[in-house]
Amino acid sequence: MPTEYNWMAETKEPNMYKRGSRDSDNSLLRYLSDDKILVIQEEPEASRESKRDTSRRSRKKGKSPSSPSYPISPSLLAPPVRLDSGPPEGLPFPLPESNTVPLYHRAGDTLRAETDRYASSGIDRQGGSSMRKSFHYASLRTKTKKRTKGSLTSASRRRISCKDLGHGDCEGWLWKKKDAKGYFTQKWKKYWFILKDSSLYWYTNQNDEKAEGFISLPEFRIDRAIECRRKFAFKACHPKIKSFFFATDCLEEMNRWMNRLGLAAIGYTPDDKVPRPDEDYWSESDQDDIDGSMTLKQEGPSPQCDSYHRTPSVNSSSPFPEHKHGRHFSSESTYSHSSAEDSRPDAPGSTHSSGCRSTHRERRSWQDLIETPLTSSGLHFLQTVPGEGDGGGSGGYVGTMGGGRREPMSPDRRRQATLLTVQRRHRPDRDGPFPLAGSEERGVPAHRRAQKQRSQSLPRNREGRGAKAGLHPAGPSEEKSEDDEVPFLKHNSTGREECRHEDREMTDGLQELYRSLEQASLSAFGEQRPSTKQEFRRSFVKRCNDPVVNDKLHRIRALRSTLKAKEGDLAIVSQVLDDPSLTSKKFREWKQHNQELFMDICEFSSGPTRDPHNGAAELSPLATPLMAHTHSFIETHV
Amino acid sequence: MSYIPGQPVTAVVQRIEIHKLRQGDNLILGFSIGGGIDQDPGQNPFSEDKTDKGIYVTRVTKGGPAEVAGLMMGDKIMQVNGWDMTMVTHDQARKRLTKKNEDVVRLLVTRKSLEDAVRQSMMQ
Repeated sequence: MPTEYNWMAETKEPNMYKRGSRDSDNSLLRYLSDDKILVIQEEPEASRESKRDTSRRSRKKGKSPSSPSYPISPSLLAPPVRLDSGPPEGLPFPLPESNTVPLYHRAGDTLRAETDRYASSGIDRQGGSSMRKSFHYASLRTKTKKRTKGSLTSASRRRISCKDLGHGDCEGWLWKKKDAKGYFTQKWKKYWFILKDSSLYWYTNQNDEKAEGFISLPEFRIDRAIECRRKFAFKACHPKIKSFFFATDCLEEMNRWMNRLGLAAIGYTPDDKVPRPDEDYWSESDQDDIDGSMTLKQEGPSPQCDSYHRTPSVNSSSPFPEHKHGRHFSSESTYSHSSAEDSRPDAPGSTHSSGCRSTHRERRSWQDLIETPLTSSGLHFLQTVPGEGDGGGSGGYVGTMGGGRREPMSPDRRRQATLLTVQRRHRPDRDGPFPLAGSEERGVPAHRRAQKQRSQSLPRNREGRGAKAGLHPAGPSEEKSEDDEVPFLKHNSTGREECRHEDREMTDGLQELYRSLEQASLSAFGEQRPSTKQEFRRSFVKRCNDPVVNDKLHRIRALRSTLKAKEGDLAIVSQVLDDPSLTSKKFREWKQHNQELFMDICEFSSGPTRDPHNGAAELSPLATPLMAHTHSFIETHV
Repeated sequence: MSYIPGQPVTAVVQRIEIHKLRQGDNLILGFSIGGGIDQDPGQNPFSEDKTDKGIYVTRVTKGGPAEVAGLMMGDKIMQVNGWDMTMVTHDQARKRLTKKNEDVVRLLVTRKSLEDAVRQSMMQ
């Protein structure tokens, strides 16, 4: 088996080096080889990994050091499935016996819990890399399972050629870290990344027939990857899947990608995307053992640039989706991606023609972004541009404004927009959903405007405090200003496509806001909402004004839920009793699955005879255990 | 059945030989076990020492092979066919009892009444 594996690697390598003259044949080959790797990769990895496995995870086959080539989805993480009839030779650990191990832990648990346990046991071992490894194990299980079902789904998401994918929201070359065992063998490889909707695809080059990999970004969290040795590295973390590591060659690039990916990660509402059980959250073909020093294809100026619009012409005043784009664009046209080395001149920053230099310091993490408070108008300040004329307004870019619109400032207009015009444009919007006192509003924006003109730093604090200083639970006007603030806040946090901060000085304005909200027992939208325990309890208990009726209603509710629980138990019992072909094995399984109920039944049935002082009526011993679920003494019939 | 930490466990045991009964596809012994190192010992109604994680017989089906052989409810199983049962998980215990290729299991069980009887006879 190891020989086969090497063979796969060999075929890949020449492909890589022939990148400059890549044609469809090569990609076909890779097509094939990718699929074949499915078959072959399992075994050698198992023997390689076996040495390492001393925990009970050892039962799972090892995983290839590069990512699995199957899409996995957290909901699909299934108990281990044997890949073939028997274990490969040479596995030092005992396999069949340990089959018992997952079983009794599964009793009563969900599948997911079991997976988590394995994952967490992996974390204990080493450091970050092992965390990824443990997820590999989890993913491997699904991998095998999916394979038995038919591998169409696995690569199908990736079977989109680079050209067919078209222009995404963001494209460019990024380094991606190949997973390698251990900390010291980090390998980075450069891929052409395309961010489309909320999925990130990457190709080894732009003419690829099939994406090398893809991940579906919602549920991922984008963060700076300090643990990486590369300077400008960031990662996409997922609680159940491994983390993906990316790196750029300069700070601006990294920020840009982090922004875009972060936006994509949160940019969609959950009910849109999330629980499709066989959704491919990510998929990646196996990486080869090529280190990152491959030469990139030079196809012309534009594809090489990280481009949003694939137009090489850069104009700082032309519309861009992001404030930074201008800078980047101009810089990228001078970028030469021909060398795949890391040491890229930092000149790009200086090749700007426009005066828009960002004042960002180091990249703030996503968490920072979320926690950063907003202005009282709900705006996020982006970096401000000192060079740009302050004439007529701020040099800052205005983030999404509230007022109920997600994208009030279309990207095209944002860049040079002054606050003045923006405010004017949006005032009517704001008045719409929230008919506030006009004077107050007008007063505030003017104040804000002045502030915005003032400095680069986000004057949020002061402003926020100013707005909140008048915040009391009582006064309606203050509440209104809260309303004013808060909806924008809401909208901003959800629709923050364009907002970015570069400044670190923000403190807990947002926290304060929410605290005051809570004090006032208001929801984020200004409605009255219970926020203390008593209030919650009261609201639950009180269904009508008459206390007597209230009690009765409460009783009815309690009885109903008890009835429902009992009916559920009854259904469980009927599973066994109604089965005409019941075997002892089935019964045993049922018993393990429903231990508590079984114990209660046993208790109940043997209670009156064995333990006379068990309980008064017949009903009560049954009632209390079932409701309380205290017993967990398992009995097995042999 | 007293357990002194650090000392080997000593107990008065009875040998019980159970001949499994074939019921369709299964070989049954006719009793139920509880306990195990992975179980909660406090829930065991039969153990004297509530930290004892041994395997106990929780019920014996009437007329079954176990009853015929003399197994009683509340017995603690020390060995099965030579395999130790004092430090096993619940499922391991089950497996050792339900091996399909074995028709007979020889258990070493202990119970309080045995110990009392022996002590009594020694005292006399």
